[in-house]
Amino acid sequence: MKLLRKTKQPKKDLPILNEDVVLSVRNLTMKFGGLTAVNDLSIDVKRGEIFGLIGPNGAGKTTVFNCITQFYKPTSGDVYFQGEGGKVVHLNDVKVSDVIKHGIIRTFQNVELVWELTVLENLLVTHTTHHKAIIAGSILKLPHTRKEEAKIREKALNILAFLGLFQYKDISPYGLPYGILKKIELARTLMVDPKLIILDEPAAGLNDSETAELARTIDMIRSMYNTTIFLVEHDMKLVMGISNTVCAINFGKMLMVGTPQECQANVAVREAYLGSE
Amino acid sequence: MNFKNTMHRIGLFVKKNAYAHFVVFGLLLVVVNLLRGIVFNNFFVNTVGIFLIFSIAVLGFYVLLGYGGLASLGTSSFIGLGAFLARYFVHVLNMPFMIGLVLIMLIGIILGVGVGFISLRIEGMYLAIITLAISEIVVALFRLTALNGLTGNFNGVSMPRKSILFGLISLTTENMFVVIVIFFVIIMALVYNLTKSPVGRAMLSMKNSESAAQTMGVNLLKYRILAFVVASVLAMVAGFLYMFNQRFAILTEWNLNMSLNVLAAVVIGGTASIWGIVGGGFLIFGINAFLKNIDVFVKYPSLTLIFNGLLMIIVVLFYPGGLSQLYFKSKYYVTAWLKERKAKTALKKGGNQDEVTAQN
Repeated sequence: MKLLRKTKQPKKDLPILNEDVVLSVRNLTMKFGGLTAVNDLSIDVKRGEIFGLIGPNGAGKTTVFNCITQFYKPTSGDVYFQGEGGKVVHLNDVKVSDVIKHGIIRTFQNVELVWELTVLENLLVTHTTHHKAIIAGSILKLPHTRKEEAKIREKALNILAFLGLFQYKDISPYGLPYGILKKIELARTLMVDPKLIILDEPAAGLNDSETAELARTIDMIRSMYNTTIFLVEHDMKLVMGISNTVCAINFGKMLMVGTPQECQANVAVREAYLGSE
Repeated sequence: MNFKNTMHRIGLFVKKNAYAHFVVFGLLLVVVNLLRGIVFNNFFVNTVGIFLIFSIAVLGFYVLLGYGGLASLGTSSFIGLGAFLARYFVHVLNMPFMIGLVLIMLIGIILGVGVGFISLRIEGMYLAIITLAISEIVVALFRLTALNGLTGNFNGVSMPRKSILFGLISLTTENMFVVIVIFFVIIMALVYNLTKSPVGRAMLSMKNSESAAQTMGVNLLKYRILAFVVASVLAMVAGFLYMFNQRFAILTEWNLNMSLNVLAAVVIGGTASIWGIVGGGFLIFGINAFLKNIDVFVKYPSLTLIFNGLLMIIVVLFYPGGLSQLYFKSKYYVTAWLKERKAKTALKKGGNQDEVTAQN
């Protein structure tokens, strides 16, 4: 059976990453048939920073994103992740559903919440991976499962209170304002004590005041949870306002990487967005 | 006083505890059984028994469709297999009731894992078609002369009423009803646990969006297999109980119609509550059995199908959430109406007082 056969790949020697690097993308190339969406891209994301990835439509931002979270397996190139204590993981070898186990979690551009569950239960969805024998424990409601459940419930309530969502805990997210939904997604990422949060266009569909609120929330999460945030965004005000480092790409190639000020001054970035004379 | 207090506390417990609801439901059914021949006639009680048996398969399908988001049209062949194997193990091979049951559940697990593997590659409607094909293959295999000992081909197979449970309880019609009720209550509680657990949440997120579920660490293969295992094991258990209750099974019974009925029960019940599912099961399997005894329906058997079809159209058009949505909606309206009335009367009183004070 094709499913049972594991693709055997020679294990790569893991590189030693700089101490402050949390995510290292090296020579990443992703081809879809004849189209090269990402071309030889290398970026390093430092621990504790907010890293913004920008680029015009079709630049390959989302593809980079999906290669990091392993929705796509890159055509070539490597993605390394350095957890706490300098443990390096070659993400290319990790199954898409196991990426979360390393403390990497993403949000979605079009909010992906479960409408049938309450806001609180939506946060608990992330908990599936966290203990073994969960199926027997769930069906028979074993004491161990119950204890775990109580523990994560409390954790979820704390996070909801932290983000000011406590009042919504027992209702379905269906019909709540978009800004609140985005916040619930952010709250869900915090459930796994994330080392790296990847945000896919968090400001899409938000109005100005909601975006400002979101920027505050992202900054608060970064400082309170001591985590790294990787941001793909169209909203320049948000990116320039909160990022420590900005990377601009176009046609799958890197244009520049530097501080927001450097990015704004860069000629190539301006040309990519506005066209050349 | 003390007695009243305890009764009140018991009442509160029963009201709040979901498992207590299941047990009370079971006890009510046992009372129905005790009143067999006094208040309820034999036909009524037997019909309730059949509804309970098929509702076990419906509960399995509820996990598959309502939580896993997977559709199958092969339920009937699983029920049929359970029924034939029940007779074969217990009657032909002379195994005890419980050992036969465990064997059948094991076979259900194996088959469920097999279909679960297929489901990872094929999705949605195509999956339903594949399960339909599997079910047709199973029925075709039943027809083989080599398997006549198992299925009896077009003559069907029957089983004498002689089994004894644990060497103590003989499975008469009355006792069998109690056994069915016990099975039903236990399975209901287990399914309830499953749906209200981390596993249930993982399945719901898988149903909602596969990519989001994977990001949350849900291993799709694992949960799809689990959904199919639950559905096939419960279908086989339903078949097992069916054989012991009816003492007769024929392969023409396990057709697409039956699978569609199971599907209809889940759709009409709605996936918001386990009681909705039981209600859906009753509407489809209970009411249908009663209808079959009404003259018009005896004359035109396809009328029951029309009845089911109409029911489904109405539900899908007006109440996509099924019976449970109907219940929650009406509950919401009733409470809102009561609140409004209360507020109005309070306002009236308040208004009068204002007038009084103004006059003074």
